[in-house]
Amino acid sequence: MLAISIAGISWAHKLRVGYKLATLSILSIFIFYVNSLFLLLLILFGILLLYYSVSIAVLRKGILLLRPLILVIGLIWIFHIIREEFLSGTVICLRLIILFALANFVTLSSRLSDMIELFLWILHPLKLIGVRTSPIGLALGMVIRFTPVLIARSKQLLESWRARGLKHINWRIILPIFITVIDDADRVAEAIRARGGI
Amino acid sequence: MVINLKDVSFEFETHRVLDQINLNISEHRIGIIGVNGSGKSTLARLISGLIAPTSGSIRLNKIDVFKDRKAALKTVGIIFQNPDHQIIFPTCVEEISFGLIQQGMTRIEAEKKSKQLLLKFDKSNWSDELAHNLSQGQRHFLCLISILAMEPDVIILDEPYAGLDLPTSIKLKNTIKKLNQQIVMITHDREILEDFERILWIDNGKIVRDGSFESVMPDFEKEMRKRANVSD
Amino acid sequence: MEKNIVYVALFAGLIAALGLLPKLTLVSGIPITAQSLGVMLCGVILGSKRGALAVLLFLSLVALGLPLLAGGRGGLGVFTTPWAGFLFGFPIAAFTTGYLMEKFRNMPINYVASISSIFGSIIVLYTIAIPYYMIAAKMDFISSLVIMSPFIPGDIIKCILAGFIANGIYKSRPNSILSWAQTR
Repeated sequence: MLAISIAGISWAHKLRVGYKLATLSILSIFIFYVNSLFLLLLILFGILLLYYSVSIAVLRKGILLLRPLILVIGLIWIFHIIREEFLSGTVICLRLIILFALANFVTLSSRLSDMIELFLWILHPLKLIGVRTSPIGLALGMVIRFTPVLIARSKQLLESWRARGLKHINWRIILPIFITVIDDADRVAEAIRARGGI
Repeated sequence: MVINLKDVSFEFETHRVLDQINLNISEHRIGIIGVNGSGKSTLARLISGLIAPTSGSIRLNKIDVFKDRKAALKTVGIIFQNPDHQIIFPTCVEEISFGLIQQGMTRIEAEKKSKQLLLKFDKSNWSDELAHNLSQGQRHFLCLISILAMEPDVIILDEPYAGLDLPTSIKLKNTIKKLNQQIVMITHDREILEDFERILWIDNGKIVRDGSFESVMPDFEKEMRKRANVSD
Repeated sequence: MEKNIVYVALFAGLIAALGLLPKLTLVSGIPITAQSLGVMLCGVILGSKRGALAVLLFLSLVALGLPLLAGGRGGLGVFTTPWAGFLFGFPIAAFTTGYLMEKFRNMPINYVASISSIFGSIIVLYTIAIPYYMIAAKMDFISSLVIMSPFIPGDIIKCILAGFIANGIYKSRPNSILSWAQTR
């Protein structure tokens, strides 16, 4: 499946995902203590430069990802302005945008396979309290493997609807989607059992 | 029914699936053959109006089946390979009624007609039966009935016999033989193709051969054997 | 055991697939998005633990950088927005819905599924999402409620649809309603 991250060999790509996430967490906390509007704007600009330092593609995608957020944030900003909280409202909105952009920076510059590896590593401590982690890895692999299949199946059913129907596809299409997925699940479980089970 | 394709090309993500297809089809029984990935299914979807060509035009009796869906529903019906990926509604009568309601009937009228149709095929007991609990062959048949109910002039079938057991396959063949509609069928089944008036051999998005069974099949089979001998 | 893991994995994938569907309609053109309906049905069909796990698995994939949220959104960024309360609340909503499903087995599934969904995906979910929004956006309760309120009628309708869909699944594949399966 196509991940959001953009392939590359930049300095950001070479950093280990764990370190990037740790830095993200620390910076996130730090941001909440910045009250100066000017400083926040500077930081935001700095983040855009960060994107650019990786590649133009990353900058472009980063901005693309930011666009839908602006609407949400805009609404919040308007509410604060109505309550005559221009300064604190703008500060809050800027913080949210910065946080969002920083988090996405990690996503854009980290390969899916590295993220998965880190994810499984983080789950290791669960072994100490008796949780079996190998089924989690298996389940993760299965979702990634099967989601495109499920998407294709849904598209087929949508097509079947459009073959006999006019424009609007209504909620009833969800029923056969679920039934066919349930049938698939039963078959896959059978196949796993036939090969030794979990 | 005249199916007309003029300079039709179809591209999917920079890949040219169909390349400058020009066709005029008016025969009663037409077969489409070719290896997987040749563009057959795309052609089927184009003719039934589910997708639009990237360039060129498709008209069924002058109707643009992609743009004018209302007319398309009365004109062309398509049955896909796997009935499980086509049946939408829980009960058989709901499934058959769906197309009729889309064509403008009320629910009551549609259910009445659906039941009449089931009676005609001697399957009245299917009425409130759950579609997903029918056998594979029965589900295939249900899909066929659902399309026949809409009374299209031409029916397109995409590999209807794939994966069917022999008795079911024979039953389906006999049913389709008796249909009055114009039929366009994608199939590998030699016995079926023998009775067809015209065979289109599609390869790599182009029509390689177009003619009678005798003029197309021998060369097709020779080519298939050749490809089988090429090592992967 | 295999069945549990496969169902959890496939339902997680299903939530993703539902996010990619075009807007579906109710009768006559009123649009609804299917993904949250998928979350409800995870709880209804899989029960509390499996339902929550399926949703958690789905959220993990989003966090790992896959654009699986409706609208092709994903990545770590979505977890930093004020709306992230919904994301964090989804597994808890599924758990609640599943828990209620497991508790009330002998009643018509239509009603149990709808009511369980209302408790899980409306009451519990919004109880988490609204305070989260208030804190993240520094807004008062009334304003936050005003912003969220347009979505509530649609969500209630989805809960009712969840009942119909659960009923359809129960009629066709009764053994697959894992929330109602007899425990070994």
